[in-house]
Amino acid sequence: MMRHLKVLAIYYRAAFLSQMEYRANFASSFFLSLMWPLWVMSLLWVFFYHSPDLGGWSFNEAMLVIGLYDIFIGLQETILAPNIVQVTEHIQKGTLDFVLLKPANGQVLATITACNLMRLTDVIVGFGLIGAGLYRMGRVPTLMQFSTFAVMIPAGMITVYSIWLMLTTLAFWFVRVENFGEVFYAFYETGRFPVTIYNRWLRLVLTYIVPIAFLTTFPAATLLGKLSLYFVLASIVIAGVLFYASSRFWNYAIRFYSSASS
Amino acid sequence: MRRFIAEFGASWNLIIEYRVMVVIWMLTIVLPLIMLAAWLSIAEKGPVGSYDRMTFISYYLAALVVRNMTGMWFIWEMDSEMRLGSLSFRLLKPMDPIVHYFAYACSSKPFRVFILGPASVVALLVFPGLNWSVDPLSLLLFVTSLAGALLILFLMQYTIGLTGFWITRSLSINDAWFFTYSLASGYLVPLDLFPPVIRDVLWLLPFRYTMSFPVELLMGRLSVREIVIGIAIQWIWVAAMYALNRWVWRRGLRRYSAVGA
Repeated sequence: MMRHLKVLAIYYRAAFLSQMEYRANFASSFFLSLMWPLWVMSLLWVFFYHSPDLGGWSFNEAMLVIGLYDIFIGLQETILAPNIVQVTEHIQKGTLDFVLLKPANGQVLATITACNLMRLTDVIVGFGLIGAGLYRMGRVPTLMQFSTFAVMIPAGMITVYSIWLMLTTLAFWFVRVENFGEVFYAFYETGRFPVTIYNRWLRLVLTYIVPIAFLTTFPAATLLGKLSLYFVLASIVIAGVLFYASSRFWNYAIRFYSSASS
Repeated sequence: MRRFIAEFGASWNLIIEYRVMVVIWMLTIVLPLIMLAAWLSIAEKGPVGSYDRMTFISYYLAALVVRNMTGMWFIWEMDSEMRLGSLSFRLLKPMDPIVHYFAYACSSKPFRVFILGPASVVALLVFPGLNWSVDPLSLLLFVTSLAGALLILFLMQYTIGLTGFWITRSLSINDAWFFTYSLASGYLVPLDLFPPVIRDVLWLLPFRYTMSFPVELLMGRLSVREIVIGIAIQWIWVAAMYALNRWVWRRGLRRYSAVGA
């Protein structure tokens, strides 16, 4: 475990150093990160022009959901998406052996070592929105609310990682896995607004089948003290089960991998 | 015209090869549906302005049709061609590249009609209250308005793509463009639901004529007089955009050759 953390630290340091050469990109990335929340907030503003609430959420409360959406998009684009691109290429070209032969866990090396730090701007803006929403309501979360929130973020991150790992693993059999990614992104979009706006069936799907609600709506709800502890526990269980299943799937699929030279 | 047909044929073959992807792209246009879900939850307590639940469903399904028939994504190809220099090969051909990009942008449309036609019939059967005007005359006017919308969007996108002559991040400009288009065209919010002052401003911009106008036409919310005026305004915008585009093209080309490419 410690050894893997050290390996990861080396990879991230290298990425940081090489990306610091393009500091101007960081500024424009920050600009774009600010633009999209502004866009969703204008949509929210039109809703609230006609209605005092949206699925039981006030404007300020919904800002937390938007913030969480940005945090997860940001984290995903920072440490998941670059790896997905890389590993699919390795599988398609038959060069994955260069990764697998290295003396560390292949799954760690293949799926979380690349990163694009530019997109951390989304994460910063996301936390900013949550802070702004809480400030406008004049609320300070209790220690309990804050700690459940702090548990749900990593749990959500592991959930997203596991879903992506399963989709990526399909690349061992299908060539164009980007398409599965597109479909997942489409589900992701639903996380921009509180899950309570959707009808009963869609809500069930977004909670238990493609657990988007556990990424944006529920962490926001727990910070506002609107969530029962049951869902906090469920988020940990879902993350654990999906992580276990996806790792098993990866290790199973890797047996079907044949390199370009073998 | 012959050149357009040849270019169209080449792109069309690509579309047929990637037909599954086109269907997936069509299915992943979900933003209007998310907006629909949000409005439906608000409209549970009563209609919003002149929109009740069925009007919202009619509106956003129509918006999906219009988006599919007028949306285009060639700017990514254009960006990479300009940055990597393969545009130089295009310039050697005795044909303005605008023909190629226009053919490329239109190539998936027949395939989309093929999918959307049956899908619309299903929608009309599932939602008997769907108030679309589907008599032959309305459909003819609808298709005419789609053509105008497509041309305005193409010229806007092509002009943004041409800014690549000056800057390397024309795709960021495209992001900002989508920000404006999606809010100002009626793609995500019916323009009638904006506060009146904002709506009046949005009516003066070209965006309304790329989305809201065809959608309202299909929904039978416009009188014949309004339709005729609307189509005329569409073509005024097409002419204005074309003039702007040609001006940018000439200036950009001069700059491109100045670099020595």
